[in-house]
Amino acid sequence: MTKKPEPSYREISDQLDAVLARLQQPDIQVDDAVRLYEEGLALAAALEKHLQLAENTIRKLKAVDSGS
Amino acid sequence: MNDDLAFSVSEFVAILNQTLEFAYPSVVVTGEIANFRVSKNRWVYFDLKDEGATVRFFGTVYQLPGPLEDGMMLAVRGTPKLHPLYGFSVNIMAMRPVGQGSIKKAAALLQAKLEAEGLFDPLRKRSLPYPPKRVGLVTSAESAAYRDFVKVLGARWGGLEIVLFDVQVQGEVAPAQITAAIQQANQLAEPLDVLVVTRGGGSAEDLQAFSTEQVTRAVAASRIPTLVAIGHEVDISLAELAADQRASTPSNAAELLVPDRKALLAQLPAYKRQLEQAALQVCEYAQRQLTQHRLTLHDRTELVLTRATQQLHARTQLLAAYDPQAALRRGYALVQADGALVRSGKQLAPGAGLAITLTDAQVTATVKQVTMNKG
Repeated sequence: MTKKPEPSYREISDQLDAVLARLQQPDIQVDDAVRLYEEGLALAAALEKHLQLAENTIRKLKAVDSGS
Repeated sequence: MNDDLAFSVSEFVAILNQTLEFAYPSVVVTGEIANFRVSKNRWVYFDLKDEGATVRFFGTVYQLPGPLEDGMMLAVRGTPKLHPLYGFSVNIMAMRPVGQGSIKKAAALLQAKLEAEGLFDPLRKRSLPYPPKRVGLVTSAESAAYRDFVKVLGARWGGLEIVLFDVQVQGEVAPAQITAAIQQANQLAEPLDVLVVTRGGGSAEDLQAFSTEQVTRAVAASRIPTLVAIGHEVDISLAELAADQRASTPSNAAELLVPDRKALLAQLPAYKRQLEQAALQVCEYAQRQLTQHRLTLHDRTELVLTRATQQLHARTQLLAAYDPQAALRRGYALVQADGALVRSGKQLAPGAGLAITLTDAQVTATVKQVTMNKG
């Protein structure tokens, strides 16, 4: 059993783009729109987490480097 | 007359040549060139003269240090010979221009010739690998140039492999040795990254080997990129012109070849700051994009809902138009008989019971009379 690798920022970002594109389709149903909205918010939150982590890592590396 | 040695002409030529060979197997004669000419692209004839005498010389074009002209001073090493048909001449073994004027003149002639061939064309110049790993060095192991080069190289950058080709950098054998070293360097099984040819300062004569046709062509033909540094800043040899890069001195060659470790270390903090800035900028950009995406997500979802609401509203209105209560409110009534809606007077007869629905009441009535409309 191999664990599925964590999706990359790019992959999640692409998924969010896909959600946004589907929301623009003329025949989109309300139920679907609500579900997509929820999904989009979750993807945005995941991206936010990625970014936070990246910025923290950069600052941490800088702190380690300055300390050396 | 009887005591004299007597010979036939041929015998005399033979005995004289033997004597010359014994007494002067090789001589060096210096003088001004006159009557210089090349025959059949192969044979070279000229005279060397001074105020008092003229001597003929004979050799091949392969021995020429470069193009020569009448009036130049030349030192020629050769063997004196009395030719059975053409008389006395010195058969050339080697020759080189002497004196500032002649050396410069010879170099100028050769430079013009090689220039015309394109050996100094800037388009031929390749860039040197920076920094290189394996460096070929053609110079004299005894020289200050060698020591300076290695010292500066070591002070600036470490871990270089230097393959030394120890050659004489001046004198008659220098051009051949330098040429052979350049060719040998190009044939090593493990290739060199760059080939440095260098020597320190000296008189124009000392530096002459590096302006010979032989060495200049070898430098131009090198498959390994070349860095040539001969003499001081003001000296420019033809080998330098043919090189991919020229340096003013041996130390300068080392400076051009590798970066200065200390200078790089000093730049490091600035690079780190740039790196960090760049990384954070990527994050910031992504953050802005994400914010924009969130807004778009919200807007698009809201648009779907707004559209659905509008559609619902339109349908509600349509529905309202069909609402029977609305008709009742305007004064119409629903008439039913026996539980069915009365649409025609034919359904009724006097005495039948009616159930009438008004907007605010249920009325029970009895039919008195039915008169059908005409037409």
